[in-house]
Amino acid sequence: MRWWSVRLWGAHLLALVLVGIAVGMGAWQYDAWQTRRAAERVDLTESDPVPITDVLGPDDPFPTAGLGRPVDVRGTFLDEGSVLVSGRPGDDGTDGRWVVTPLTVGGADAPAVPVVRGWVTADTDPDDVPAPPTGEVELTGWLQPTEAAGGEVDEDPGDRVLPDLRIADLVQLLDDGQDLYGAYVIAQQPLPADEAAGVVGASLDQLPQAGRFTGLRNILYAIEWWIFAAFAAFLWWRYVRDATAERPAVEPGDEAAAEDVVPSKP
Amino acid sequence: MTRLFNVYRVLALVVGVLLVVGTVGSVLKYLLEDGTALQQLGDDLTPIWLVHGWIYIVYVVVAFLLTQKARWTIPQLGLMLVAGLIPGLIFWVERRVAQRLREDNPELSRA
Repeated sequence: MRWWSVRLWGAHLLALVLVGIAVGMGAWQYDAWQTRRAAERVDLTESDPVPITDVLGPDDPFPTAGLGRPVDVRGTFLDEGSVLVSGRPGDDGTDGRWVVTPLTVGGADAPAVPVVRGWVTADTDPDDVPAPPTGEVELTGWLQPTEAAGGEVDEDPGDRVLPDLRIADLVQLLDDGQDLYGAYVIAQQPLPADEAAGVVGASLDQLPQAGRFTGLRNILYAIEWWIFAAFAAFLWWRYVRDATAERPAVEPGDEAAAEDVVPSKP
Repeated sequence: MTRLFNVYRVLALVVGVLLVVGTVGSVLKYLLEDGTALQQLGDDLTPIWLVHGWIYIVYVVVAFLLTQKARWTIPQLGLMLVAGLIPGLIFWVERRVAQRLREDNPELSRA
């Protein structure tokens, strides 16, 4: 049997499809890794603020061009969604917490985006935090994607202190039907009322260093897929080689091969 | 041979369990409403796929070495490899592989 024999076409086709899929999936993960790295290099934090609705909609995935971008938000605070997010070291390294309250983007029923109003020391309880202003407010802040689980367990799920700023956790605190953006905003300046109550402005330096791992995950997936592609090609090569071999090598004691030998005529 | 066979069985078990857990996690993550505790659990289980992928690579290599030693055909190896990707299938395939190996190599029955 030659390698172009019709009986081997199925194997060729299967090998092509498998290698194609694996190479493609690897390239896709590699692209994601590249995009992430490119986004980390580009610093948008000093650019001019734009309305948040110009960057993303309530149900949009987080745009790569939105990381750290200053955005303007105008709306009303939803105090029932106020939480503290722990594990945010302050400027001098002391442990602290973020004060977070969702702010509607537009009217009082509009989809809301969680806003980091400021930073307080780690011993602050949710009850000690000043209530957000009522009525319409306007503020400018840096846009950030929802955080991934940092692996830290929420010691007391009943309290209003969370280990990570995750949109999925905040949704549960709000009224049914209240939509949240898949992102949050770190206010550049604390609100005057908050500042008077001792809340310090939050900064991007207080972000947990979790982004590295997600990028690493993409490149590990890419390598995985390419190993599979190489292995599928290797198996195809072996299969075709065995199938096209003129005569299988007969080894002593190999019964299966011995049976194939045509007996000589008596 | 006996050692390779045992390594294969352990890997098959690990890959099989990771595959089932990963699948359950993904079903929870994508089919349930955002924000529910079970959906969150599914989301948290996502890294399972990374672990599954790398252990599966080891499984693929061991399955290949095993089929080489047992002089099995590439389609048989194909079945063993596909079993690592379809939830639950690997437990059945592993038993079949064990049975076939014992038939071909009676000395393994003592292992």
